[in-house]
Amino acid sequence: MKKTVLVLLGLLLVFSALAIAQGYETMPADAKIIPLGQADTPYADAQPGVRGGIFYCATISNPKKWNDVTAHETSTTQYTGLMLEGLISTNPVTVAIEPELAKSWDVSEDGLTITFHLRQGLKWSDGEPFTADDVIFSFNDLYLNEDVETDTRDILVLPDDSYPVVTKIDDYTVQVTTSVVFRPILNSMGANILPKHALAQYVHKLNPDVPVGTFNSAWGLDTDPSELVGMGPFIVESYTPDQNVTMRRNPYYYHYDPNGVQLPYFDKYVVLTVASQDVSLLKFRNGELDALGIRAADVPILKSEEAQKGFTVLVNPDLPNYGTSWIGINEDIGLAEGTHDNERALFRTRDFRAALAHLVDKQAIIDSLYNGLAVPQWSPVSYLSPFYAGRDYYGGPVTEKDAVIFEYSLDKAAELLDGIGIVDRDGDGWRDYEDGTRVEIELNTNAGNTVREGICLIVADRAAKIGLKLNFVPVDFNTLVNKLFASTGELIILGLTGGPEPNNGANVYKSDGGLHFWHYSAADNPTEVEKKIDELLDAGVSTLDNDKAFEIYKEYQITLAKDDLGLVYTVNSAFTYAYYNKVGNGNLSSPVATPGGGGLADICYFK
Amino acid sequence: MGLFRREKEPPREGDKQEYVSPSQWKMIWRAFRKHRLGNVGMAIILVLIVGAVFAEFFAPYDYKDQYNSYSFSPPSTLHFRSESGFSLRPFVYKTKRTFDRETYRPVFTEDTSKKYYIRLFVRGSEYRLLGLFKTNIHFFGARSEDGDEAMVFLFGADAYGRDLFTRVMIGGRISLAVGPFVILLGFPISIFLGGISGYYGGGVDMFLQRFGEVFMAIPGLPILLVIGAALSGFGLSAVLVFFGIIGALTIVSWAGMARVIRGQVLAIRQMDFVSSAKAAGASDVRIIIRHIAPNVTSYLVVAATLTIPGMMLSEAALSFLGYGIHEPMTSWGQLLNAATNISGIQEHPWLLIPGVFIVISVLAFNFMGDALRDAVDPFSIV
Amino acid sequence: MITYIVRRTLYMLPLLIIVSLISFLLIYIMPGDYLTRAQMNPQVTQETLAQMRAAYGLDQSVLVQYWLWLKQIILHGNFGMSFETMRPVFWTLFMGGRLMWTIIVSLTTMLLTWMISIPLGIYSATHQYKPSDHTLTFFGFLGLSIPNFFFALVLLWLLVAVFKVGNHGLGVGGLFDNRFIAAPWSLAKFGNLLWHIWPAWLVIGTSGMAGLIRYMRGSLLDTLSLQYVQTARAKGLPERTVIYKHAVRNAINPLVSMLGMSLPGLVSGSLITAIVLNLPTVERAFFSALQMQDQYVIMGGLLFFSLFLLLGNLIADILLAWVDPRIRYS
Repeated sequence: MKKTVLVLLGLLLVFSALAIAQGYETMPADAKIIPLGQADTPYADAQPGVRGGIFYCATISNPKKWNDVTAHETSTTQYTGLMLEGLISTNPVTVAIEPELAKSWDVSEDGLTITFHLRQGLKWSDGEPFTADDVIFSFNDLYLNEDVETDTRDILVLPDDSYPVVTKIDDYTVQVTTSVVFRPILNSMGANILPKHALAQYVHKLNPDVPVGTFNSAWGLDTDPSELVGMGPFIVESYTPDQNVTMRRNPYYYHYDPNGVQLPYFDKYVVLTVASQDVSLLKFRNGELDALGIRAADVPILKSEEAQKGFTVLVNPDLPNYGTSWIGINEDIGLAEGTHDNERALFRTRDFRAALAHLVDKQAIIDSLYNGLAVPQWSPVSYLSPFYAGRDYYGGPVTEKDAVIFEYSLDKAAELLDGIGIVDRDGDGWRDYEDGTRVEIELNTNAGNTVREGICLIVADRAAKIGLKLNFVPVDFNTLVNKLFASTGELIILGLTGGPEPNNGANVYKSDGGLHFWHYSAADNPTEVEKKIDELLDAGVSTLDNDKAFEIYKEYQITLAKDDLGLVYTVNSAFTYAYYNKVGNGNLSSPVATPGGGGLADICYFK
Repeated sequence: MGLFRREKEPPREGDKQEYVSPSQWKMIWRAFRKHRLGNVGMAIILVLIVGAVFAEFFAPYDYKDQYNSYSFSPPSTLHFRSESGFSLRPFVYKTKRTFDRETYRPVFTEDTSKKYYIRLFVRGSEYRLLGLFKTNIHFFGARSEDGDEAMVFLFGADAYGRDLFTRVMIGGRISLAVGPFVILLGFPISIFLGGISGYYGGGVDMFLQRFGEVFMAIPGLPILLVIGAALSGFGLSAVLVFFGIIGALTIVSWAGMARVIRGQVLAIRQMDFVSSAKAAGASDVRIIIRHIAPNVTSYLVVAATLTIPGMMLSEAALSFLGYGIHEPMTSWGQLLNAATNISGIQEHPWLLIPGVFIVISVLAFNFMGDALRDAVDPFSIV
Repeated sequence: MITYIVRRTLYMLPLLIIVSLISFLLIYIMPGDYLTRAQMNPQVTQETLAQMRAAYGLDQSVLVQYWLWLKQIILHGNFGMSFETMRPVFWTLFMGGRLMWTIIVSLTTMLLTWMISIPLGIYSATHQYKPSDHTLTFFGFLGLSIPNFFFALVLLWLLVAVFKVGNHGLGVGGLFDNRFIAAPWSLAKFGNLLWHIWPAWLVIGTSGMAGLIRYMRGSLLDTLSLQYVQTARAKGLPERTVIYKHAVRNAINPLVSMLGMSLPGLVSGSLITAIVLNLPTVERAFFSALQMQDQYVIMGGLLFFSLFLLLGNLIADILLAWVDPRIRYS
């Protein structure tokens, strides 16, 4: 007993000494404890670690700026995301929403007001205190400020085109009011919070001395890294283009492990910029990287070296990544020009789209393009989302009980085509329209994406087998996007990013959505099925009850996949990842969080 | 300039001294024949050209046909020996693909119950020979005694189970054609503008020189990339992409060539025989055709031969940077680029075979050009 | 001579303007613009995109855009902003020592190539048609024939998978091993730099050696057949003296002008090698701008490469006048 006390006391001394050296004198009362290794928590499989070491990982592109608010691409946000935190966050293991800078929140009974209670006594990485002013600044002066160029404003907009009103109650309480009930607003309020004391000087609204729009170029790559301030685990320390970004530990980070050790464990977090995934693969095999996201094609090589080199290749054929991959069928083809009447009529026939769905040889795609490491996809909502219709209830296990499967079947596809009068009329081996002209459809994807090109090749090959002529023409990515938006494409294979929130797809699947590119004319004249989808999407956001929302989104997903078929889904790559065994807690890696992709960066350590 | 003159050997005793002057081309040919590496190069080029022209005949399959159950099949093993003894005629076995879930590698096992002999002139997929004659005779294929067919992948198969040998044969067409097409397109421009510039001089020369300089001031690879990106915007069919690449390569290469031709013409124009022709009252056209053209042609032949390998490599480089020939069409550059990754090198090295074809043909063209240059030189015009 | 250089330099100006106009039009033909990519983000509305397009001036006609860009250069020396970094284009292209590394890699490669090729060319010429000449020619051309992107990757793969350099603590790709990235300069760091740079020398160098060897060989053969060399031989001078003292000196002259001409090629020709070997060079920054359609950075890059090309030609002419006193410019 005495011994234990002594040991504990000793430990405490060591830790407090460490803490003094690193920033906080003692653990702030409102620190967030990550229950590493504690039973009945999502972290049961994890271990509390030890501090120290430099972690190396790799990425393909250079960062473009250090400004999280105006950044458009992950090459920048992978760093700014580590530097900053939001009021709430998604748990890297369970994908559930959990408190972050806010320690708790209450939702009013009418669902129109959310009150966030902030953690007290936290400090920015430069030692300045964190208060409600930073939250108000981030929302009112940055995200909702018209002078600031930001994508985040678009996720804050409410169904009636108004924005939430964010007000300060006291130094540690913030209230958000919306004009209508909007379930995803809680998630949107998780946008990163920025330091007012460091950034207010660049905002014209607060500092009229600077011209309008100054903030858009604030915190650029030429900013001295010592000026960068954040709340996240790591802060950028130095940057060399095409070589590396080095991040240092935030001395005031407020995450602690159950032993009272301040996180993150790593002293430094270094991201090497490499020009190709082949080079990063070589660097990983050469021992220069501690963890790496890998391609399906690289799995056999790494698997064969796993034991000998002491790393682990995480391969889970059943666990797909976020995002969708699909064939878009342009139902408005030639509408504006008054051409392509045959095609338009054909594309608007549900059975044609169903025939196409039967032509997607998913197994061949998975075998030859993904090395067996992908799963068939049928829903626009990501597999990982708690709203995925393959689950039994909100956040429940995936059973795929209600999956809408269009199995690969040349016979069924041929039968459907025969049924709508698309048959070979002149005996040349190719199917024709009723007027005798040959059905000849162009299939596009972006040149250079070998996987999508491969899907096109396989689909066109199978279509030819039943006499349906698809001409595969790869085009430049921007051309493809232009084709989508101008409704001049015929069949297009592309993908979209995804996430846990189904409503993020509203812009795509709503009949008047800006990305409803396969049927823009639906904005004025939606079909019955599209009307139903619109209604379901509206219903999904206006309830705060997740279980109720789940049922709504389930019906929505099944309707889209079975009746609408505007997009025919293909396959989704499985999660593949590799890390050296010396990286503790690397086993928690999942499509949402990896040691090298953030998410686990604060809790991984060197054994 | 005579940079590449061979040492002239003094006539040996006993050599017959002929006084009939052989034609210029005969002499070049004679000198060329002495150059061993050059001859090997020419022979290789001829073989490759024949292969490309009759590609569909030599290839056992259609280059687009997918045999997915043979995805990443290694090259077929040609057997000569079985339990039943030695057979002079090679045969293959059918293979079955299974996927090893432990190693994530496909495994191919031979089914030795039935032999499929390599036979010549077998019937297969239909095609048009030279684009004209419809036929289904292929040079070779594997058939059993009872006429059953087995796949034979001389160079293995790609991800979709397409026969690499077939694709190399078809791809050679594009790769071998890029250089000649650029020359066909660019040389007339260079010859015309460079010729006029050199022959007439003065204001015309001045103007054309400045015009050419604009093109020479445009950096080669960067502008190729910009043109490639601009072209990719039109969603061109594969054939047009090919011509787009040729156009782009022409744009960046014609001006330099024109400048050299101008210099050539300028030098010849000042030679005695041209001056005398002029004094004799020959017209410009006659002087150009009778006196200048023959002297420039041999140079052009050499320049053409040495341009081709550079263009082949450019085509491959463009493929790597994403602006080259792309699916469903194919070329050696595209094939090599698709295989140039770590899993290609380590897991399915047979996919790198197209690279061997690039190297060999570039070498062959260079040797041939080098030998031609040596051969042409006695006339001291290069 | 000075007036000649000044005149040639002034003459570059109109050339660069024409080149810039052509480039601008080409960039305009390229499909879409910088914001096209953002259009595919489900969370960005079309209104936001239209606002951004207006803010970037991308909603104006191409000639207006060109004119505004040119005016900024003339009036303020401002070559425009990068859409991606919101910083001036040349800063974006050159930042973090890219310009320095480009020059270091180019110059060292060139120097090495010349130091190896010239002696080989001399050897080849003095052993004309001997097996050693053929072998040299063969390997020279072999180096030229292997596509750089393939050679570079295979080289790295050999180092990692076959020679297992990682077991000896050596890294591949980039400029330094991890442990040297942040370290101050030392002999060990310099040694590490050499270890990372030699693959670039090998890949870029081998593709240029064949030409140089053949040129040197031809030039020397030419000189050796000239009268004065024969005279020197007839005087009974040792063959070594004849070759090295008399012939080589003159044979090198025509190659000197090639030195200037090869400069621009080195700066814009090592793109592929730089991509595979992960070297921070200007052309890589240019290439990524091209992929993102960061149009003013593309323009800046093209102008930079053009200028380098013109300067290279000028240097070539000056060098030629310097080594060959018969040439006079006025």
